Order: sequence, then structure tokens, then C-alpha cells
Amino acid sequence: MAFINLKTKEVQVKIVYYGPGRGGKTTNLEYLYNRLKDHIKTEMVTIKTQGDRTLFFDFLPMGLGEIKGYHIKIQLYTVPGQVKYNATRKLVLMGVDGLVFVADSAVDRRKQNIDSLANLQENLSAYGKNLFEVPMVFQYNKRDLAEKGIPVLPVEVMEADLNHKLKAPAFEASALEGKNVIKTLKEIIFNTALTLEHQLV
Amino acid sequence: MDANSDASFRDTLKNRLDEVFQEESSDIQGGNKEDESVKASHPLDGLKSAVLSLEWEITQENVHRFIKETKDCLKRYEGDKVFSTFFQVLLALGKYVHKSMKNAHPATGALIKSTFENVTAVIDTGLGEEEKRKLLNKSLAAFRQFKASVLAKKRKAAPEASETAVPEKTIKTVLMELGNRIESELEKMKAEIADIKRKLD
Repeated sequence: MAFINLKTKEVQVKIVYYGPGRGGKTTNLEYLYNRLKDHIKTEMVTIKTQGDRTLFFDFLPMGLGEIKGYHIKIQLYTVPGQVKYNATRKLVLMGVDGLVFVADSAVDRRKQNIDSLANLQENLSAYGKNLFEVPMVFQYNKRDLAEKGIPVLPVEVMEADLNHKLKAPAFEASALEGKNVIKTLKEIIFNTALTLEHQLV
Repeated sequence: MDANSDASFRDTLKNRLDEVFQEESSDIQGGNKEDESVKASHPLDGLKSAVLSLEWEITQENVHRFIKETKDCLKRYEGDKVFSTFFQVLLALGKYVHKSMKNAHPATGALIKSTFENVTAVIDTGLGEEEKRKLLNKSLAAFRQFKASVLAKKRKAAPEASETAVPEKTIKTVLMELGNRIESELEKMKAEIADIKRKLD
């Protein structure tokens, strides 16, 4: 649940980028950081393993200015995608307000996407939440692989695998090129903020 | 919250998001619709990432990835002799690193990087056949020189090893001799202790 400070009229919204390892979660945040530097007053915090893997999490805070008299602050997090870091993933999910599920479009990553979504559901349940309660946006990342001759999953297959029950907004994207990265973020902020609206008195 | 304020919140939020993100999009890429300004992907992006990972640290995972990416490129460019030769050089270097791992020649990383940069230049700049060959020859010369220095290092290390190496037979003899000596010392000590005991009695 978002942190709302009635005294300082400040709302902190936590959005977590979830998904399988090497799916492009950190690349999303790096792109956003480079594009939105003026709105991001602090450095992006990122802790990586050698070889470009996220070891702990990335953290990117940004301000949206004042809406209805409240200063809206967005905090973007990624989780480590590697299977073995589940304790960290679970911890990062604590108090999550909105989710972006970054799925990898490469054909050979199909199982990892499905497993990661199941893992998300399991970890949310530890906080008494489920996928249907938390605003979510799917991002089918790495669509550019097709142009390099690497087979990608058809979007219909990804929708059927991941989103056939949730029916959440979904975008084809290439985080590396920045395609639909901002659109994904706008969508999740919009949907998340709407669910918080009634709390802002 | 009544319907009017609902709509007002929604509109304010939507406008704010458009304001924040649209402004940034036009600043950086000169266009207003971020998802429409798609950069062309580079065919060697995967290999580039593998080269950089390997340069960062030689791990099994990074080496495997590098070899896989190089093989993918070999397949993709199999009709072009110049490109194929570049990728064969990279593959040979990958296999060498795989075999030697952390003991690989310190110049390996630099050679992989320079070969990769040359093949990228050939692909990117659309050079003529003669210029392509020039760059290829440069990479081949560097590769041959590297090979020679690896062999020279091996040759240099080999005689040193034979000079200092002790034949197995000698080791066994020395150990036996040492064992016998310890045994006889023990016998002497036992005899001395028995003698002292006798005197005390």
C-alpha cells in the first residue's frame, strides 16, 4: 500500500518491475533514468553481479509533481530475476502498489516467463495479495530479436501463457531501444494512481 | 468522491503524465511519440554484450554465451567469407578462453575486443571489398601474433617444468628412506624409554 503522509501531503507509490532473469528489467530502468534525468533528483541505485546480472535490486525515485494537493513520488524497483534470489524478490515486493511484468520474447525463454509469473503470485500471497488485486502491466520485451533472426514468441502465445486470465494492459517493447518503455511506465503509474485515488482525501 | 472529482483526478493525472513524459521524449529524440521513434537494432548487439561481459570477467557462463553468440553470427553470415573469417577468429579465441579460463593470456580480452570492433566497423560502414580485407588482415595478423606469443609462453614454461620436475621414482625412494629413518629413530626412542623405566623401577 502506498505510503501517504497526510502532514507533508506526500504520496509514495512503489512500482516493481518483475520477470525472469535477463528479461530486461534493469534495461527498462536504465533507459528511464537516461530519458528522465530532470525528474529524477537522485542517482539510480543499482547493484549488479559481474556479468551484468542484478544482484540485489535497482531503485529509481522520481517526482510527478503535485496532484490534488499531494506531491506524488514514484519509486521504481526491479527484482533480481535469477531463481536463487527469491528471498530478495519477496522482500522487494513488500508494500508494492503496481507491477510491471517484463517477459522475454525469445522462444527459449517461454518456460522462464511462466515460472516467473507463478513465482510472483506465490510471493505476493506471502503479503496476502494476489495478481488480480495489484495493478499490473505486461511488457513483452525484446521484440527486436526477430530483426536479428532470433525466433520470438508470437504475442498471442505470450498473451495466452501469461495474460489470458488477468487481461492486464500489455505492450510489445524493446527496452534496449527504448521502444514502449515510457508507455509501459505511464500506463502502470496511471492505473496504480487511480487505485490510490480514494485514499487521497 | 463524486463522479466529477473522479474525472478531474483522472484528467489531472493523465495530463501530468503526458506533460512529464512527452516533454522528455521531444527533448531527447526530437519526436513526441516515444514508441514511434524506434531505433534500428544492431545485428551484433548480442555479441557485443557477450564481449563486454567476457571483458568484465571470465566465467563459464560468460564464455559459453560468447561462444554461442559467435556461433550464431557465423551461421548468420556464413555466405560472406570476410565476415565468416572474423567470426572464426572470435570463435577460436572463445574456445581458447574456455580451455584456459583464468590462465588465459592477458592479451586475450584486448584481442577479442579489437577483432569485434573491426568486424563491427566492416558491418556498419559499408566498406568496399578491399578495405574489408584490409581490416580482416589486420585482425588476422594480430591473431597470428597472439598465437605465436601463447606458444612461446608454453615452450618457455615447458623446459622450466622439466628442469624442476622430480621423477616419481625418486620421490618414492626419498619417502621410503625418510620412513625408515623415522622408524629407526622411534625404535631408538622406545629403547631409551624402556631403559629409563627399568632404572626407575
